[in-house]
This record gives sequence, structure tokens and C-alpha cells, in this order.
Amino acid sequence: MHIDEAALESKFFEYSRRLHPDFFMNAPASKRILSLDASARLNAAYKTLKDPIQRAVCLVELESGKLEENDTSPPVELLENIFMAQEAAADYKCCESDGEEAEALRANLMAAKECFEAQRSGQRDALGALGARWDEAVDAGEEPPAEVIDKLRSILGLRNYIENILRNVDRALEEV
Amino acid sequence: MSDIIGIDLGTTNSLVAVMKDGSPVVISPEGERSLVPSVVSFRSNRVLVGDKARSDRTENIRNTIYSIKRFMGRGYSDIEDEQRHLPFEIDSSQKEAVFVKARGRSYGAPEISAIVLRELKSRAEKSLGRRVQRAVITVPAYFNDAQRQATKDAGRLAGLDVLRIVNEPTAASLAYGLHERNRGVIAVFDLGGGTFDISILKVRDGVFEVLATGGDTQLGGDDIDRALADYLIESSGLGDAVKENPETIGLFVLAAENAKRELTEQEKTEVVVECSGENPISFSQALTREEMEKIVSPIADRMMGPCRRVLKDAGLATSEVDEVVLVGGSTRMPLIGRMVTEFFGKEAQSELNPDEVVAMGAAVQADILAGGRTDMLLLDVTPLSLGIETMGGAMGWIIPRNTTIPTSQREVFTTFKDNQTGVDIHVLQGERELIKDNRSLAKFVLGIDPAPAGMARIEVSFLIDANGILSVTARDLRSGKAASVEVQPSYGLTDEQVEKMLLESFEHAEADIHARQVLEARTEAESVVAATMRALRNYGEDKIGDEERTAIEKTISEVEKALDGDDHQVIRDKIEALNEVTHPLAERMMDNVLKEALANKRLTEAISD
Repeated sequence: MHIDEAALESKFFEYSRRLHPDFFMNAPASKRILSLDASARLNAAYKTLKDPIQRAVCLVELESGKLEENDTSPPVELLENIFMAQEAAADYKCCESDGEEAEALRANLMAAKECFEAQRSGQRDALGALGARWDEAVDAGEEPPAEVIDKLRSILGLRNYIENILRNVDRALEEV
Repeated sequence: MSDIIGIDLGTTNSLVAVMKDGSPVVISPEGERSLVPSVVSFRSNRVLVGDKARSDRTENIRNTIYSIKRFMGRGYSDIEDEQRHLPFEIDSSQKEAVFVKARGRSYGAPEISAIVLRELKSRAEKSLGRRVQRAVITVPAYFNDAQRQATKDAGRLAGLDVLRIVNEPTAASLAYGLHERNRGVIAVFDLGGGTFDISILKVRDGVFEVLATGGDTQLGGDDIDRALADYLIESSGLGDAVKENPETIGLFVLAAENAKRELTEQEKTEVVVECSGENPISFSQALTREEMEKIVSPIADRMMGPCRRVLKDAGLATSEVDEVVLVGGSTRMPLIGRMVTEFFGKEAQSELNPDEVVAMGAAVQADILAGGRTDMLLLDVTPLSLGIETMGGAMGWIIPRNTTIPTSQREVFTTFKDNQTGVDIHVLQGERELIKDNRSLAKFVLGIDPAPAGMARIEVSFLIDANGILSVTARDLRSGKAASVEVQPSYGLTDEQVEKMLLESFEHAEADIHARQVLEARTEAESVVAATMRALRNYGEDKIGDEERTAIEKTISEVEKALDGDDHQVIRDKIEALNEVTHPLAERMMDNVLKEALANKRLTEAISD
């Protein structure tokens, strides 16, 4: 789960220098196509490995199968909060006046945003702790514990709900 | 190895650069500027490009086309509103691509760009003394697929093989990178005549990795000129009819452009618009820099949104940006410099000429592609998210913006009806949730073998190459065979249109003259050589002595050598030499013919034969 980011970047650059289409301009067409395809895959791999969340998703899926959207049913409280934030975002977007009403709606939305951001950072901490336990097991030559995998799956499953609502809130704040 | 030139095809000015002894050099013919104004003037008997055309913006105003880059890869409805500010006419009968009218003929935007490109190509050829066929052309980083494609089309129309489309700010960073000074995180703030880009790059070990890019392809110096022109016209006290006259507006835009430039150097200026003719104008007004800045500040403010967003996308704070680089002529305005400094909290660099740095970077990229440089590598991103139309007109995201290119993504499609033989895939670019708010790129029609509903499984690969241009391929997962994909681009020219323009283009443009002269000299040389060879074959040793034969053969090989080059004068000289050396032979041949003819006929009969 943990990765040496500087080493990852160096490796990415090294492979890019070997695979990038820039270095195959004078090669036969078949080689050019291979280079294009290989760099596209390299770029995708780097993107996945660079981001701690995507990396965790990838490792967990390799270990225990794909994460499906309906895997995790979110707690009622989270759903309620999401629903309320969505309403607040819609109200704010529709609100045309610049006066006190808009200010109040904006403050409301900012509060929701802070709340979800706190949850997100809580998730990150939890992922970090679980990731450390995962690495410990793997370093010792063992399988990652089932309990760690389950918890990771549950957090990663909820993550999309929080990311989506944060994106919507941000969009509302930006648009107005 | 043949040369690859680097071209900055700008809204206002264009330039060409080549690598000389490991450094990029911008080409400027003796006694001329390196900048070629991207202006094309259609006179009754010829076509002018660059500075010569620019001066026609007062004399031949209705037939002088400028800022064509704003129309590349766009449709009529996108730009209809701009007509008001343009003294030349847009062809309203063409909807999917913008065509402009000059002297009764319509020209697609890439055709106009091609005329500018041909001028640059010929400049490079004169400077290098060789033919040039391959080029790297830069585009604003925020250009969408259709705009990039249109730029490629323009290259093709100019007789150039466009090896790569490079983003302007990234190209600039390559030129700065050669100075070995830049390490860490660089922000490139690029404000040109018509477009605005902001890119954040991370530079390490010769790898230039773009982290995020943003901008506005319809925001540049032109918009500043127009805002200023509108203000000046408003305060001119001219009658409404004169105010709305395209020529009046054209003259005021030109005056605004000049005033803007003067107010970059000095605190105040006098704006003068004089025009005799049908609607005489005699206007003059004092303008201070402060006044101008107030008028144009709403336009400058539009740049801050993309700046904030790009930092957010890169996941960086302004304090994490190590250097800020200014690119594009419009960054010379003191107002812009101040804004950038204020936003990033540090003094921006502009030690390389902001007009030339993009072309220089294009030449560096050309060198990399030619295999001349292996220590530098550019990893760029796609500026806009790519998606397809899903149920209810919503956008289904496939490739998010700021993904490193090349990149590919696969999606599996199936059929909803029995024996359905095609599936339509509507591909769009943009960041909005609904497809109606995004830019339609193309509709792809997948060919499918008839089967019960839901049985077909077609895997479609969306690939964005290193030019930022999309291609789509499909595979039938059941048979493993390639499936057919028919493309209907939403904007821009079709392949057939480009072909047709390609054929027509050779009749026009000053820039063509050189190519035509070479072509004509070649054709003549080839026919002279062929005729001489025929004569050498047909006439035995009795008629051509050894010495003469050797001399002729030597001259033929000289002509052939000249044909390898690209100088029509050299070819002509060698044709002349061959004519001279074969003159005695030709005379004898003529004598023979005459003798034969006269043997049986009287002179008059022979001549009238």
C-alpha cells in the first residue's frame, strides 16, 4: 500500500524514455503503434499507482475481486447528510439575489462542505492505518488479514458517495 | 535526415524556427522581421501574406482576413456574434465549419491558415537552402479535438507533413528548459492574440511533465482591442449608421490595437482614426494607460478563473510554484504582468522573447522527433474531459481532463433491438454534466452483425494520441474481429473537402510561386533530359562522336543532380547548359530532317506539313 513516490516517478520517467511515441517517429508503422499503445498503458499504470486511493482500490481488487457500487450500503446518517447537502447546492444555484439569503445559503453549503471534508480526511487516516497493517503482513510474507481487506472494501465503497457530493457542492460554489 | 521545422501558428503573428548547432533559431529573412502577421489579403490579381497583407487592413479592408485562428475547428453558430467586429465577411451558408469570403470566393479557415503556413515554409526553405516537408505546429493547450484537427488540415493544405501538434505553453517550457535553469514546478502563463492558456509543469531530469492545463480559446489580445474599440466608437459621437459600418469598426479595432501597444511603453497616447471616402471619419482622442486598464479589466479578470482551477487540478498552492513564465505578446501589457505577479506572489520571468519562445520550443520538439535529442521528453495532458452521450442527454465520462497522453480507454457496447446493425456513439469534450453544454466532436457509427438484442459485444477503444487528437477503433468481442467505425465529425472539414481544397490551393498565393517555379523547372528539365536521351539512343556513332557523347552525358548527370535540390535557378542553369552542349547535335538533327523533307518536296510544302 505504501509506495516510494520518488522511486515511482523515476521509474515512470525511465520507462517513458523507452516507450514514448516521440522516440519512434522514424520507426516502421507497426512499432509506432506498439509504442502508442505501450505508453497509454504506462500512463494509466502511473496514474493508478501515484494516487493512494486508486492504488488501494487496485490492490484490494486484485486481492479480493472488483468493488461494485452496491457492495456497501452507506449508513442512513450519511445518506441523510448527502441528501441535505444536495438540496442546499440546488437552492444556492437557483438563488438569484446577491443579498442576505444568498449569503445564508452559501454559508450553509460551506458548512456541509467542511463536514464532508472532515469525513474524507478521517477516511484517509483510516486507510493509512489499514494500509500499514496490510504492508506489515505482506512484508512478513503473509496474506493481508481478512479483517483489513473487509474494512478497506467498506471505506473504499463509501468513498465514492463522499467524493460525488463534494464535487457537486464545489460545482455549485464555483458556478454561482 | 530531412529537416523538421517548428511553427508557431498564432492568431496575430506566426513564426518558424529550426535547430542550428543544437539551438533553436527563429528564421527572419534579411531585412525582415521574424514575425509574420497571420494576415492574408486577397487583391484582384494576387494574394499577399504577412506584413504586406497587414498594411492592406486599411486599403483593402473587406478582403483582408486576420485572426482566422479563432475560427479554426468551429461552426458558424459559434462565431456569428463576432461578425460585428469583423470587416470581412463570414459565409453564412456554411454551417459545420467557418468559411470566410473574399472577392466572391469562400475559403475554409484552414485554407487561410495554410497560406500563412506556406509563407513560413518557404521562408524556412530559403534559409536552409533545402526543401522542407515536415513540421511541428503549436496550438493553444486548451484547443479541443476539432481545433487540433483543423490545424493539421491547414498543415496538409500547405504541403506539410505535420508530425506533431504541440501545446504552446509546453513548447515554451521546452525552450526555457534548454536554458537549464528550470527545475521544479513552472507555471506558464500564455496570453496570445486570441487565446489564453495556463499550464503547470513539473520539470525533472529533462522530463517535462504537464500536471494540469487550463485556459480559454476565445480570450486574448483581440478581445482587449475590441473592448477598447467599442469604447472609442461609443465616445466618438459618430452617427449610428457609421458606427455599425464594418469598415468603421475595422478601422477603430486597428486604432485600438495601436493604442494598446503604445500604452505598453508610455502613459498616454492620442488615438486617431482618419478616413475619407463614403463615410468620412475624423476622430482623435487622448487616452491614458489608466483609462485603458479600466476599460479592459473585465477581460483580464476572466483569466483568473482558469488560473485558480489549474492549480487546484494540479493539487498545488501558489507558494509551491517555483517559477512563472510569461509567453505571448499580450503579456507585455503592464496590467497583465501586475495581475500575474499578484496572483502567484512572485515576479514572472520573460527573459526569452515572449513572441518567439513558442516557435523555439516547437523547433526543440521537432529535434526530439527527428532523433536529434534524446535527453528531453515532453509528457503532455489532454486539456478537456472526453465523454459519450448516455441516457437522457447526460455526459458519460471516459477520459478525465489532465490525463497524460497518449491515453486510451475501452468501453463495451451492445444492442437494444434484435438484428440491430449499427450503434451510434456520440463523443463530446467538456466539463459540464449535460451533453448540450459540451462540445460535440463526432458521431461514430459502429457496424454490427445482426444478432438478438444484447448479444452483440463491441469493445470500443478511445485513444488520444500525443497530439491530443482522438481516434476510435472497435472490436467485436465475440468474433475477435475488428468492427467498422464510421466517423461523422461535428465541426470542421470533411476529408473530401480537404482533398478538394488541396487541389485548388496550387492556383493561389504568393507563397506558392517558389514551389511552382521549382515544379515547372523540374518538368522542363525532365522533358529535356528525356528528349536528349532519346536522341543519344536513336543516333548512332556515325552521327555523334565519342567526345560529344561524353560531354552530353556529363551534362545530363549534372541536370539530374540539380533535380535533387530545390533551387529552380540551378535547375534552369543546368537546362541551359544542356541546351548549349546539345546545340550542335540538335542542329544536325534539324538539318537531317530538313534534308529528308526537302528531298521530295518543295520548301513551302515541307514547312506547311
